Amino acid sequence: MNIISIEELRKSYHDSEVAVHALNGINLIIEKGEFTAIVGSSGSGKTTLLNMIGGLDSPDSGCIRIGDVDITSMKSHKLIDFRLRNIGFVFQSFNLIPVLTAFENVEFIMNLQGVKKEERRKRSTELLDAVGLGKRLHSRPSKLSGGQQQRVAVARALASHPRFILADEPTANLDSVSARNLLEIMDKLNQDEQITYIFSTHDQRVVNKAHRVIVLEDGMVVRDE
Amino acid sequence: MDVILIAWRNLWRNKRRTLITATSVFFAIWFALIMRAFQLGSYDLMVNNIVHSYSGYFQVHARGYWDHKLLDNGFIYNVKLKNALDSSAGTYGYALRLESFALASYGLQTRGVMVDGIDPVAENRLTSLKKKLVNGRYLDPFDSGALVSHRLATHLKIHIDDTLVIIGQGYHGYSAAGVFPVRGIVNFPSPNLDGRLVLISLSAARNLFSADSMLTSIAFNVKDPDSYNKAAIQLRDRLDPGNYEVLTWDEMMPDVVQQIRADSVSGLIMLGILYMIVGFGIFGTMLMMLNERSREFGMMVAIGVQKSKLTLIMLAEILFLGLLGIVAGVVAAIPPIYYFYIHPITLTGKMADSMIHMGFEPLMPAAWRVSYFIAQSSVVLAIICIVMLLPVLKIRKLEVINALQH
Repeated sequence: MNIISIEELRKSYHDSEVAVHALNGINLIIEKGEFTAIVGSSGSGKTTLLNMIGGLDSPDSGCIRIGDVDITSMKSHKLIDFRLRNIGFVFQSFNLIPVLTAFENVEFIMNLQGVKKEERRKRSTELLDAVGLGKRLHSRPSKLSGGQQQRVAVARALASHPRFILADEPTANLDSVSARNLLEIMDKLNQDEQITYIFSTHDQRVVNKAHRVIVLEDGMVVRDE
Repeated sequence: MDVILIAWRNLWRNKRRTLITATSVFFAIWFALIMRAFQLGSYDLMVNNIVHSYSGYFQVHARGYWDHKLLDNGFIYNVKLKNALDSSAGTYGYALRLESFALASYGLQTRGVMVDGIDPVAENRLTSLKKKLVNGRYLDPFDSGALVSHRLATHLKIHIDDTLVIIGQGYHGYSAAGVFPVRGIVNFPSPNLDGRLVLISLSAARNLFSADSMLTSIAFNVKDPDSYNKAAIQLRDRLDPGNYEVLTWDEMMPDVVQQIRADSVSGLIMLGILYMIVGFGIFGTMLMMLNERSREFGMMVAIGVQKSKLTLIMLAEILFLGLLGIVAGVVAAIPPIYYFYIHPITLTGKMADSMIHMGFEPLMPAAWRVSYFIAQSSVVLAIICIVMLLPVLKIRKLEVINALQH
């Protein structure tokens, strides 16, 4: 079942009058339950592609469909709402709202979705348990390690029952133990609950875990295996 | 609920900055309230001195009397006029007067004075004259004695039961001369009045000035001091404008009104400067808050927080910050303002001399009005609301990608 279909996606940036083609006609289909890693050297276009899929940036041309919805033609506020209900994000750093506890960060997303209080509380606790932070529910991000913060971010990303999770170099700022833990949790969730992940990464450990690896070069897919 | 919770916690992310900004608002509102309270208190005192010591809220004269204060410009007090006055709405009693200038003498001292023939009972209702008595007794309705103002008595070196000689000109050029035993000494807050007023009964004044049935003015008190203009207009409509003029205290004393306005404007300019400094202070804090949290805003919009909600969070933060300073400032200003409202500062030395010279009581009371606290707080809130436009615009223009890369 196709979750994401991308057709002829193009994006250029103008840097001092020189056009940089960040994405140069990308065609991709991502299916439910895939654990996909997008790799490539710096400037290959992987972050731009991830931003486009997440509806954070708009393409010059081409089309991105999430399910049946073409997100490239959506208005800003509708796109924000679409992201809230369909996409989970795990960023490289500064993932969490610093003034909210781990529990509140996870609950916050469901609150935005209008989920009832009881259900919010139950799911927040379950998710934080699932990522191994059942005992740190009421810790603020500043009291958590980088790895723990990323695990809270994963729990938060899952809170909204998204169609897929976008993770932009989630292990880049983590030590090897934390990175391994995070990947194991994400892998487990992928296997147990068919969560779809799309990673942009340089990390070989992520690549090793991935079921599918897409290699980008100069804004084009040069390998998809 | 999320908005309030996040805004409140955000406020304390940088405690020192929040406290510094809230303190700047606190001091601005505190200084503004104290400064303005003394300014308004002084104006109230001035007006109070004028209205409750002598002029009343408005007066009825024969047309043209106020421009040429001569006995010959007085008027006959008849039944028709009395009926019109008695049925005027919004008034709270009136006092009949026959006033003229004369020379007052005792021993070797002589001084130009204003002789004011009054109805002692009505006058007391209007100006609480009896309370101003510092020595002797008050006048009876048909008393043949006089009340002498305190400064004048000091100058003339006259005391209770001494005889004051008054010489002047009566109605239509009659000579006016009389002797009046001093019944009492009265102290007027206004130094100007206190240095030149002799009060005798209306009947004695009519005899002195050969002005039977005549009056020069009728002074009115009103039920609601804020609507004296309305009462004056209503009475003006009842009286023949060809024969009578009805003038409010501010129309009779435009120089005082002008003086209050000029002084008030200078005070408002000071307040404006104070508030501008505070406005820029809050603006600076907010600019810092916005810039250092660009990435956080980007992340929040990315995960699904609408910009409108983000704006609300920022607005709530600024509002909390402002309210913190405003509430603390108002609470801290209440005790000193109330204290100085009850116990005005008594000016001494050159400052007191200059006040007396200008004809005012050398006191500095603070005004005590709820409306004024609300007004000052509202001004600061309005400034905060203007400053709030910045986050509204900034968040509206927020580009998630740029913010995340910040």
